[in-house]
Amino acid sequence: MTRRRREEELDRDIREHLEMEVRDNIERGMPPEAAHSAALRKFGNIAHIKEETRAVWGWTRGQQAVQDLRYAVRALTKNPGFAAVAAITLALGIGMNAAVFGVVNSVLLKPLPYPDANRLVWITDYNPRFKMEVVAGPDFLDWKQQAQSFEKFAGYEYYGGSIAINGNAEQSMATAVSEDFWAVTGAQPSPGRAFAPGERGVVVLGRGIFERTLGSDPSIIGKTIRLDGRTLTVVGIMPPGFRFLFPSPAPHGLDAAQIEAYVPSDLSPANQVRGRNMAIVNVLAKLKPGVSLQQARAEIQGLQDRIGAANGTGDFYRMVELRVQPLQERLVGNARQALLVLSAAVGFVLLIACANLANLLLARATSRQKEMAVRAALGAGRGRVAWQYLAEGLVLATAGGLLGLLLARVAIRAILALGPQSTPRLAETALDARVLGFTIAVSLLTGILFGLGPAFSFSPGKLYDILKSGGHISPSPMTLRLRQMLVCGELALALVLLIGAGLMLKSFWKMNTRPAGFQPESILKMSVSLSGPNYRQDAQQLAYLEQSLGRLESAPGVRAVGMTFSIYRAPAIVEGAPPLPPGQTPSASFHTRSAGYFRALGMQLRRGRWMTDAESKPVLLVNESFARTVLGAGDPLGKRIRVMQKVAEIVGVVADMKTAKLDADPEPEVYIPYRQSPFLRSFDLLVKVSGTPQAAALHELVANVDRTQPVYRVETLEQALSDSISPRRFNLFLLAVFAIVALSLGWVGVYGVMSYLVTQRTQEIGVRMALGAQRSEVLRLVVGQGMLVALAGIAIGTAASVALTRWMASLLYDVTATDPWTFATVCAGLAMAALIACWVPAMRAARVNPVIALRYE
Amino acid sequence: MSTRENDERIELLQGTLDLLILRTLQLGPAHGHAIAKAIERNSEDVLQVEQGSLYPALHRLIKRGWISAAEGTSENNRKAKFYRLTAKGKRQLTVETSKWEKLARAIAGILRPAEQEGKS
Repeated sequence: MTRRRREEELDRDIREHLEMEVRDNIERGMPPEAAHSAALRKFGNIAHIKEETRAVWGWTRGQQAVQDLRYAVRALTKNPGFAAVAAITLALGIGMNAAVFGVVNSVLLKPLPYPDANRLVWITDYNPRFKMEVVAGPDFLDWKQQAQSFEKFAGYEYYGGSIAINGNAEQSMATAVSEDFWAVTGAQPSPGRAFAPGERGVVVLGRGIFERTLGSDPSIIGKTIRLDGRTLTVVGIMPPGFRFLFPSPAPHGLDAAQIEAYVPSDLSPANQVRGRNMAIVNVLAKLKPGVSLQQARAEIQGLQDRIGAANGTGDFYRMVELRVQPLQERLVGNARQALLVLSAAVGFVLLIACANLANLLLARATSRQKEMAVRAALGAGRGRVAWQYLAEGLVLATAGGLLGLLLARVAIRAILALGPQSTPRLAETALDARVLGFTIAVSLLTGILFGLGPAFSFSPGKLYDILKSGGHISPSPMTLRLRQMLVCGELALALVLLIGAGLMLKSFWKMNTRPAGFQPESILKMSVSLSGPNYRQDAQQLAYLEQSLGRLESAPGVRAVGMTFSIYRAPAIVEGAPPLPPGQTPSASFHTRSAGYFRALGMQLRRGRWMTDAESKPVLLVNESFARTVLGAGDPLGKRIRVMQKVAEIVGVVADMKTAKLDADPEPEVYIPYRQSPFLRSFDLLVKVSGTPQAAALHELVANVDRTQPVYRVETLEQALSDSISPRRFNLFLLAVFAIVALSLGWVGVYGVMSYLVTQRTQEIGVRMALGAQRSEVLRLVVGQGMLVALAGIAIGTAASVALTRWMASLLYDVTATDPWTFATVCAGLAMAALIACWVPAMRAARVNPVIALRYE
Repeated sequence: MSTRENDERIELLQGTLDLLILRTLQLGPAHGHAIAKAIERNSEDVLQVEQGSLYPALHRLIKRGWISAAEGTSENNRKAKFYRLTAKGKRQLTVETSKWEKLARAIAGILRPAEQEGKS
């Protein structure tokens, strides 16, 4: 029998029963109306009886849940203001968490797109002094031959080069890969093929250049292109969707995503002779199944020790530190810490949103006590009332979750637009199944949490009191205490976020302070890497450089033109200085620079003189950091420094200046006149103009020097510098957004509780004023009570911040994690905000008309 | 409404009501109103059962298979549900009756000395 029929029959039986009773009563001589009410009285509570009968049939939980949900939707739509505020609060929390989880998922959690990616490891020798990761070619070959822990080794090298197809040159990155590269990455070129072991003179092109420059025309296979002047036959195209996600430790300007040419590497025992002719190679390896990282590391360490002993190169291996780490971990690098901090921050936002919602629900539960009491009196058991609350929590959470998903969609789009290119796989962030699952889980969890909270606060024991009170319900002091605690917690969490954001803001400000003469926005920067047979000779390279400099100098509006190139980082050896123990010589970075460079950047001379472009003797300039750390207290002028095989004299000291990375501390630097430089193959040109540089025109000017040489990375120095800290800017942006949302929610929380308190105490305030209390006293009373809660929150938040901000130390620059100024400013700001949130309700309390307030009862 | 105290009282009442219904139906099939009337009449109006509470009890007994329900026609010619005792119900009635008598004797045994004390 269907439930509906049962229900109808029960209705009918009860109706019939009542009619018979009424008839009996009339027969006994009662007037019809009395007969009717007597029958009803005798029958009892019809709704309750039906409910009990249904209970006998056994409602299935599902049917009951549907009923409860339907009722919950109705109850919430009847109170749209509450529902909207609650859903939006939840949506903020859930949406931002979903977006950050999306990033965490794509950057940290999703396995790399290679077969058995969890077994791929990155092996390198890290040199802490030069901060470089290098593996010597012969070591790679030995590991490959001898190590037992690995299935395969793939070596690769990077170089920037120009790819010329049909006479058009394009600057891009190329990589020379060893034969196992294909097996390790699982990449199958299509169309075409990978190169066979030992094959030379061939190239596999990247998908990007194939689609962009060649219009996806497969007829390129079998034809030749020129890569850095070498003629190579195209044998294949990388498959669509293949991504080169391998670390690029060398400080190349172009990133690995721009690799457009894959050529066979020619590492072989014949051309890799230890100590004489060695290539520097990057090493990927695939562990055998079941081999742990520790085992693999121990084996490679053993091999290195043996190699060192056999070749007398033990010193080298003692200077470096062997690193064997999962590829994914190596790739993510610093982004991990930032993401963990951001995840924690956004989790805080959700907690604050939850506290706010709990506050709202507590207020609602107080005003609904009567409704629930009536429902209980009509026969709803305690369980049923609890279920009702739970259903409402779930409906709210669902609405919040759906809104949150919309928000997450927008947020992810913003993240993709603003996120730094350098964070690996950030661009793959999407609202996929995992993010969806996460959102649903978070929504349900919050829904259950918020449903059950008020359900427990409902106690049927007080039914009679509630019903008797006739609608004027005062909240229990417990409820008020709970609400104050929630607000206190909210403020504490918000303070932690604000302090985090404040510390990052201060770091950002510190990074961006610049000396007076430095105007990066009016400096245009262009890069050139000379390639091809026409530029084999130093003289040819010098000619190109000087011609470019000359053309730029004569362009209209140009105030200074300079060139720079970072040669290397090397130990700074001072002639005549007592030799230091090995490994303790300070290192410096050596740069080639023209005289115009210093003018273009507005660098300051501290001592001695500037260098010119036509020095007769070997000279150089050093910066203050060099003078301080390498030369110590002595007079730097006249000291002689070794540069390659020559020795040059220091003629001047310039002020430290950040010209490449804003978040790097100044390091010892040496500047060599370009005519004395051993390398002129690639360099950056810098053009200082008055006003904003005409990038296109200046670019064209240099490009016209030789059309076969691409001029690339044309941007203002300001862009370049700002790009150098784009991950930091992004982190700051996100943390600031979280902090602002947290502050707003916290503020609303304080305001809500204070308003509520004032409403509750209107009568008391009226009595006080009737008895002669001044408005100012009332104001002080209310504000005092609110600020007590706020200050407790701020105190707890400060303590929590002291404990927590050290986790973000790696995200800060030149600011300690417990920077007292930031702490003080943020605390004062939050206290101010809380004061305003208390002030408004307090003013309302002070304006209470005692006559009306007393009549309020 | 549903504190533990209340639940225990209902439990006791339910068992009693079940017994009364079974006993009433031993005389023949009847509809709800007739059962209520019979209980009231036979207990000389001492047992003022809330008539409505009969229905959850009836449905419970059907569920246990002690009584069955069939559509019939009431004295004022309307469709009504008639309840009748099943074989299982008859057996149950014997069990319940003896259980009840035992309980009544036990309670009476406890109460009697008190009455005597009161008299003396």
